Amino acid sequence: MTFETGHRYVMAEDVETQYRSIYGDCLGMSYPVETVYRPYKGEDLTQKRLMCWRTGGIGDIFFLNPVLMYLKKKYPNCFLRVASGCRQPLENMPAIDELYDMPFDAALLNDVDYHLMFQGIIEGSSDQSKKTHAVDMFFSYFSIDSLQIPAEDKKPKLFFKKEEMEWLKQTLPTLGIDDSNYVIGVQMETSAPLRNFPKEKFKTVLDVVSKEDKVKIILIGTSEQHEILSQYYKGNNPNIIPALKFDVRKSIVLTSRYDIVISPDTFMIQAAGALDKPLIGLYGPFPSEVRMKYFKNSIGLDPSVVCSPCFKHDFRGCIKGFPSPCFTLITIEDILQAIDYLKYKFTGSHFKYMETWLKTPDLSEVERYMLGADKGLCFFSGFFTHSNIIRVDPNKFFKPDIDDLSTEFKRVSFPFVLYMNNLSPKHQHLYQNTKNLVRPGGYLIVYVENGNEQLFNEIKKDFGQGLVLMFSKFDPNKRIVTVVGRKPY
Amino acid sequence: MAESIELLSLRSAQQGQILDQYRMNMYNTELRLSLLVKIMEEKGVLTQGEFEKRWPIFLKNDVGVLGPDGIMEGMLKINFYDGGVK
Repeated sequence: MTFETGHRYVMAEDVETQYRSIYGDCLGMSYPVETVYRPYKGEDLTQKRLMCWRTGGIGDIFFLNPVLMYLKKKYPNCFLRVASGCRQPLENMPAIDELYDMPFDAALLNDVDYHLMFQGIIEGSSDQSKKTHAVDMFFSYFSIDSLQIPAEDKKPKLFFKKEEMEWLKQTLPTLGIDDSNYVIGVQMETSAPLRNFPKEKFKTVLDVVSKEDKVKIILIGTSEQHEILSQYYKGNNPNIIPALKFDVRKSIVLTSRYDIVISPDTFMIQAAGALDKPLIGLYGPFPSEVRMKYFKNSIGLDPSVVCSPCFKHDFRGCIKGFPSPCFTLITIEDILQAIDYLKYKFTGSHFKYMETWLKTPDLSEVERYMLGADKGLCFFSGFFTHSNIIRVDPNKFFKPDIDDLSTEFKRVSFPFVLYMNNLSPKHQHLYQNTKNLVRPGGYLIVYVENGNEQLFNEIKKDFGQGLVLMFSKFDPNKRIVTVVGRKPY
Repeated sequence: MAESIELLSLRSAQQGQILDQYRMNMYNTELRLSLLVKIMEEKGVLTQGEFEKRWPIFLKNDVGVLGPDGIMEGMLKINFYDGGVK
């Protein structure tokens, strides 16, 4: 940015501090923008001119996009001038008449009727910003009631030039991507360490997914991040392609080729959402709802812990440790299942790594206990379904009938309860409680994969207290434990 | 900790401000912790209600640690979004 003598420029305070540290007193005096500011408060914009500006960040600029489209639709004759430190998401937008970089010449403020600056709207810690989607916050800043605006119009839209699509066409082969590939775009790092998802977990996810047929993974980042991103994959994996040489706009153009996008809370979420791409958002300090609510085909993984969401915008790590400990609740399995869920939704086929989850358990030997006149409960059935069971599982990817384990069941007793595959210490109390859900004369069926003889004996011993053992089997080859007990009258 | 902060090279005035803020927060946290210890010594065990009343910010920021299995106490919410319909 070059400044001309005698001109005045509009810039954010922190940017001014940076320039001042370089140019010193050569920069001249600074005034608060309020001295020339004519704020827009929802007036009729017919034949009027409006200038709005915001420094950044890239993701936040996306929230401005739907508001500008709404204004231009409502007042087709109005003139909209926009300035931003990160203008890439607004490029080629037909709604914008003039687009400038920040800092901009203050002369641009003179020939417009109204001004509107967007600093500190979502950074504020108001209760509204914690519950309201960022786009709705921007709408309300323009004094527009966004309640009646359809969700589709609150989604940002991206506009690409012919040349940009041509560039994409030429670039993809250089990255080793052809039409048959299933391309996964992964944004690894955010601008704030607080929002960064743990590297090791990402590494494992990439390791598993990159072994799938025709899958290509593009790591999105900047050239300065080369060293960091190289920590996200092992050696020279041909299916993982670091795309670090592209600027922000080109990264956005590349998004149009992705079949699925995985990202923590960054601009990539907004770019993928704007293009209706299947999207997985890894959230912690912020709830995904206030960033992703209006997107189609998207999944937000939100840890619910005592301090999350903390709504921190800091450029520091979490006070409780780095990476933020709330991310410990998002497991590698959760991400893998989310990826497969979206892939299955659009292509109708699963990834190979899903075999263990998709495997149908062999319950033929105990099925006779499940054929009561009434439906029974089944805990942790995964993808297994049976005409006579009500499936209970907190994992929503399996689409269980009951996904909240704290829900009260409509009935107090069931003719049978099938407990499958989860006897970790965390679930012990749940296992104990399932016994109470069996009606007198009903059956408790325990089916555990990856079991051992000790577990088999422990379950049998446990059944001795209050249940009559009807069937027990341990298959040492498949390591499957099956035990059935009947509750006496 | 203080030494490692000093070792960081300051690239801009903005980063300097951030570091100052960080130092201040560290100081505040330590101060609150020492006060908490003092209260606990004086009053014996603090009830949850008293604790929350006195130190709401402390509670919000500093409680909630990793469990024995390395996972924070809580649960994961999986939210499906499809064009404004949750």
